[in-house]
Amino acid sequence: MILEGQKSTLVRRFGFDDGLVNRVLGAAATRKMDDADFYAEYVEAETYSLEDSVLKTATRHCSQGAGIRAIVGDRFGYAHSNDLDASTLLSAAKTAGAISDQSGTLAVPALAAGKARDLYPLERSPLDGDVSSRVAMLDNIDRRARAADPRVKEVFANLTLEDKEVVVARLDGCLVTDRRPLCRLDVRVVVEDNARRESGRAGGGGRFSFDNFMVSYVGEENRWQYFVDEAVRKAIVALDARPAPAGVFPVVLGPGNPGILLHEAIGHGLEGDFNKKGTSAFSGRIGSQVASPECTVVDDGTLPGRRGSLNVDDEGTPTNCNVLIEDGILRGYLHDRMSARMMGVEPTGNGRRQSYAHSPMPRMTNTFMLAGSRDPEEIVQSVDYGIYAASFGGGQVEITSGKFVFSANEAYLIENGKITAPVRGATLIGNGPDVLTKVHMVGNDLEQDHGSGTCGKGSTTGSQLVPVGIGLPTICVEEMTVGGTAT
Amino acid sequence: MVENPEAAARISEELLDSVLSMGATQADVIIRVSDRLAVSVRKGEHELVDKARSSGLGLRVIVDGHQASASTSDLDAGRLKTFGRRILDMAQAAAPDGDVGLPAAEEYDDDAESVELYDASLENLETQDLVELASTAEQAAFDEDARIQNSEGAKSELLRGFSVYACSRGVTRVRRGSRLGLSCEVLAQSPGSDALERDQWWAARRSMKDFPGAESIGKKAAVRAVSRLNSILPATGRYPVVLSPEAAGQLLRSLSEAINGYSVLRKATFLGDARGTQIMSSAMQLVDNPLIDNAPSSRTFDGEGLHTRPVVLVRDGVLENFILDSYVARRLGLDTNRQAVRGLGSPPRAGASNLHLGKGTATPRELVNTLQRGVYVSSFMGFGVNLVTGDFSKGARGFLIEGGDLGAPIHEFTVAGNLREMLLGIQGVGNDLDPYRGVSSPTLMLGEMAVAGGGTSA
Repeated sequence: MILEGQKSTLVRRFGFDDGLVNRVLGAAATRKMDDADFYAEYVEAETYSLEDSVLKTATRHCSQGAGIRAIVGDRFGYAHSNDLDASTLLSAAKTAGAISDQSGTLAVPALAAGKARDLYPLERSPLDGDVSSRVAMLDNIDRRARAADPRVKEVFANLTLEDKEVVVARLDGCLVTDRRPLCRLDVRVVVEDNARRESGRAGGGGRFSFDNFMVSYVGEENRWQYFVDEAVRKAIVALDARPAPAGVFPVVLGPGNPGILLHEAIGHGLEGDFNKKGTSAFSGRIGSQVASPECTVVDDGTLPGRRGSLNVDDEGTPTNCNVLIEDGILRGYLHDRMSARMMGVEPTGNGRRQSYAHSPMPRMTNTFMLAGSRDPEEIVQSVDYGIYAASFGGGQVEITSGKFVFSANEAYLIENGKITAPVRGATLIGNGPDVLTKVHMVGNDLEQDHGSGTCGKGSTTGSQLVPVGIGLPTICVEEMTVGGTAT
Repeated sequence: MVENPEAAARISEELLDSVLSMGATQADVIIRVSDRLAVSVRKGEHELVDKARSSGLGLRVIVDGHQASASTSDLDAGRLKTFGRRILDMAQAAAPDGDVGLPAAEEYDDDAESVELYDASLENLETQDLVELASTAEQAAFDEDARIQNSEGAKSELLRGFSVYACSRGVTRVRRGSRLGLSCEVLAQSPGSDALERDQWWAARRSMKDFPGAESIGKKAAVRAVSRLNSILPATGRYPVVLSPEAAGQLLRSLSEAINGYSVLRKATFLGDARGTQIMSSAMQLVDNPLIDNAPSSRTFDGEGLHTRPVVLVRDGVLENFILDSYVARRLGLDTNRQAVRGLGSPPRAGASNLHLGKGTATPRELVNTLQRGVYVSSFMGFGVNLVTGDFSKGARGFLIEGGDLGAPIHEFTVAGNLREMLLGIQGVGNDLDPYRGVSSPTLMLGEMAVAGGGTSA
């Protein structure tokens, strides 16, 4: 049965009458196939940018569209449109269904929906509230940053509020709707001292409404204040930074955002599509040792309110906490329905897509390492000379060779067991299958990042961006290549 | 759905009239419509077909210096009116800025240059033709070398569409565009080894007559993947560095961001005070040319509807121009270089079209031959550029240069320096400029840079 709430989404949001979704799936399935799905989405978003102490840019975006996919083995046909009238959808379904060259028709069962859990309950739309409330917060950000230090010369803040509603229906009768808020605030400051200029940035958010930027956060009165103070602190630290050394050193990664190591070095290589094709550095290695016994890594899409969380993935599968590596042993991959079927396992709730214009593929949600037993201070004390990386900008990986790289935007030298001078330009490079085998200490201080991650992955329907989360306790990697300029 | 440019122009003009009657002092509208057909082939099997028609509309309104922008995929006339009303409300909240606004009326007076952007013969291509292209490329990769054992597939894509710009200066501009792309990505494996390497090659052209053979794309992907096998780690040290056109193009992207007027305005670039000064070695020319027939980023009008023209950014190594649209030009006290680019729902921003670094006379091999010892970078990885300071540190892969020749392939190393010194230190320029890339550089030979890797010195 279709629950009342879902029925109202179908009708209110998309104007789909009773039975239209069934008819569209039926139009795709006029030949034999393994699976077919229908996905429709409606997005409203607003952005507000502060610059020169005033609201400089206000933008608003609305988009809607639907995609129909028909799957035969590991081949699929996909057709999408931002026109949602019945004739366009039915014709798109026929186009997608033409991928199958096997005759025979599949019956579409009555669509039935269960009650989904709610990881991001909303009392009202994330876009509710007047523009003046946004402007007031941005003004406060500007004032707080400039008051924090006279060396602050420029303040930029960017606020994005998004409300997305999706419908997923499948040939097996599954029907789900999900309403997904996503808000994010970024603060960047430029500081100047004796003609030296540096910048610092901080930000984050999650699946919640605008009001959440006003609630207390990490010891600060509210979330936006934390981001302002962090951006200013990082910029001031950078003013004193010296060139990073070049060479191979022990590297201590601080808690939270340095979890990008897991995302780049491990996570992408465990996505089921690459492993189905045997093109990942981790292909065929389930059950083997890929990390030191200290390491347990999970991908968990069920954390309430987190940026990478989802009630259901974009194929209607409920998300899970999936164990990827347990005590150093590779336990599983991340799957969408197609890679799971091809590899003979259950879908893991990781089938994600950027929008209706893209077909789903296996993607991460929130990826992190579980806490170990070490005191973080003890970990730093164990290093004679090395790098302490507190925060990273972006990273990248080559899936097949496993080579990854990421750039620190806050890092320090470790000398004789103590964190000393800040360094700039520290880029770390390594090899995914190796790096976790070199993690010999794991701290007891697991932190999730602040919710600013966006992951890009190439696909046959174009490169796709999805919001993700990362997390890490303090860890020590025995040796990594550090790409500074001081030789 | 909007069927043709005439219908799109009509919708744009009606929306302009509507927001002007509701109190906007200026406004502009963009409509983009595209048809896409893509297929992929993997291991000879036709794996995917993806077909779509999409359209979108962008609106910017200005009310006495208050500006807001918006986009929508819903082009229903009645709902567009409501949409316009909301954007006007948002504009009221933005701070007034006397420099915001359309270019001056007389800027719109000149005629357009004629540029080829659309090939009607591509309209005849069907799914089966695209499958043929992709299959041919992938098969050529497998045939090229027995070490090509696996594939991520080959993909071909056909895009056709049109774009309409209309603004309250009474100007309506229309252009059509087409693009046929083919890419191939394969994996190489040495006999008796677990190590896999992957690489790809691609081409995209606006016109069928310029399209290279599908075989050549597959072959090149195979050669690139195989050349990575048995990579070693270089030893940490300082080396002269030669950049492939691909790696040099990545450097050029950083430079274009550093000389973007908006970076200058925000004091976010180390080149903010550099206009009129030497920023590259004196043999270097850098031009943004939007008027090259069938080049990927050619455009007859910019994101503010102004007819475009080539802009010399760097002449004989001296920075002559920043990349400018009308807003940032006003803020900096300069004239617009007609380089506005536009996301559908965003205000204009400055951006280059075909950004080409002038080629030299030496072949890439001749450049490598001049070095006894060095590092050839095939491609960079990751971020690692700080435009405020010019600090540069990226992951890389490539080849050792030994005794004037390319030697062993190398990987898992970083290359670091400062953009200011890297640009001034360019010592050689290749003759291998690819005109079919939007941002394109020939092979470049730089001075010494810091290389970090886990290898031991020979």
